[in-house]
Amino acid sequence: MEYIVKAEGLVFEYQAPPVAEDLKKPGKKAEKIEIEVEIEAPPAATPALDGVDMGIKQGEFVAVLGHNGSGKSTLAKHINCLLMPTSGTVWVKGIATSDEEKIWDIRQSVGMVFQNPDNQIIATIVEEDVAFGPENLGIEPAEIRRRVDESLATVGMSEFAGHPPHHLSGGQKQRVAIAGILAMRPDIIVLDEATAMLDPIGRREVMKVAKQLNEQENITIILITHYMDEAALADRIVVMSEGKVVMSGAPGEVFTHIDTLQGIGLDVPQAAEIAHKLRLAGVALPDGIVTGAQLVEALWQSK
Amino acid sequence: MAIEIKDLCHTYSRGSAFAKKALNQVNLTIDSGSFVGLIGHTGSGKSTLVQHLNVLLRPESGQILIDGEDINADKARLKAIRTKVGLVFQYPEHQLFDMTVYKDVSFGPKNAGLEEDEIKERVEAALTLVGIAPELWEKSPFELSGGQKRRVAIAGVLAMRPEILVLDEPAAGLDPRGRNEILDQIKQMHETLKITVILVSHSMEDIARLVERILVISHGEIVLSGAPAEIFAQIEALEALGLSSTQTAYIMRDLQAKGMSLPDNIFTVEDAVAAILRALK
Repeated sequence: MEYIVKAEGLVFEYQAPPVAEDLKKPGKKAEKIEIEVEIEAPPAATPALDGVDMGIKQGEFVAVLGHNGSGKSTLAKHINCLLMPTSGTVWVKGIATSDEEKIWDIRQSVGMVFQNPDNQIIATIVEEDVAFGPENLGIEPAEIRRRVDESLATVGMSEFAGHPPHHLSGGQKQRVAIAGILAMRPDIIVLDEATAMLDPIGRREVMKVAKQLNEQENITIILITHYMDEAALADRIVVMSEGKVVMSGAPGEVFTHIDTLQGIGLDVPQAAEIAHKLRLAGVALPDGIVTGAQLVEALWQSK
Repeated sequence: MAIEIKDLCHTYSRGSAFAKKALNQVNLTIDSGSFVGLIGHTGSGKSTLVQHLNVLLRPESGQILIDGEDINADKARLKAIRTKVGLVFQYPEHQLFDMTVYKDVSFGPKNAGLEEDEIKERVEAALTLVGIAPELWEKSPFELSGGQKRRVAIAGVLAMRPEILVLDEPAAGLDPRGRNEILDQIKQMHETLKITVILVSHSMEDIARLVERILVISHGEIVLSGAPAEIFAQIEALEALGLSSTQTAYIMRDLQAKGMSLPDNIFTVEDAVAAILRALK
């Protein structure tokens, strides 16, 4: 199996609310209603995803960038069957997400962390929250205990196991959410703007855990973000615009297309911007600089 | 509209076992017409502090003076004070509710009992100021994009003609373009309307680009205050407070550590490019 996640010709349309047949024609007056109203025809559904073809390999760390409404989150929701394609197919570990009998297998393999830390924690004690997933899978209590302890240790939250979650910082809550996913032994974790509401240290904590899970546990990470400096840490960046994949490549490659990215409402990390402006001013710098460390190294070499 | 805060303390669930001191002896002055950034880690007391500015919370002890008036002294003045101080919460678009953009923005002025002409003028001015084109005014706010919705919500606050505007993470969750648009408009509003703006943000890059002065809050106390150049040069102090400096500031520090001779207070891309070019000559 080449790809752990694969999409082919994926189209998804959010449906406009249904309108009674006889009211659909433009300008048609609603005769059955006493007050005379003009009913507009519902707008044709615009596809949120418009023919997406992509593949993500086992163990890859992929960042997905795109403007608001570009289809990033819609794509992510297809990976664990929260949404079903209007047409086309998504495979996770070789299983089509449309295979209703396998839906729970897929959901167990794909964990998602969302934007708001306060909407994802349900229990009153941290370790109970982490145990919620495996409990629902009907796993033996001794095994649950083991998994909860391991997962909390992995995200560095063991000392908070007995705490009520509402006293934790945003970054800590997101790490508890990740521990809850780890306890279900996933192959893939999707972080859907999971750092958007966090302070700088919270963002760094979550990114560190994501990187570590990818490198040490070989978990495939799909990171959806508006922070270009986070995307710079990925193996590969997929750029979406208007429901299509418009670019895909290593950060060093993607972030050289500054004008294209800005044209679709995105940006580049500050290190890439500084490198770009220095090159324009005649400083000889290699291509592909996206992180501060790379810029510092290149400038040092060029001296 | 100058703000003066004297010995402000606030404790949540005071007197219970869950008592939590959120603000501890906060003293600060914000000059009329200034653009101030407020930064601090989650739970540092930022939101508690700004909620005191229009009396959503009352001090446990201490005083808040706006143009010399103690805002907690007279309950009858509450409405006037809340009109003066406009508060834009996080994700303000969740508070949109009316049938059209225009109606939503006119809700505040209407409730304030203003004349029809005055309401019209204010709503149109506010929507123009946030860059919402007239062809969107009769649309449902729920048909708009995330960034547009948020700007409509801000227009609702602006239509009340506040003299102090407090924005809590106005760009959270927006893409880079939406982010820049909204922040540039806030900057422009500050310049055209000459109002005092207090911006709460977790993005050091945005704060660096916009504000004249930074207040750093930690565990309910103001621990640092100064111009961006002064604050962002203190990388270690910021990290110890659960914050960070800008991406550029780290690059400059690492270049200095390698022995490149660079000035200390560089924290934006433009300044960094100029400084590196000078150093390479």
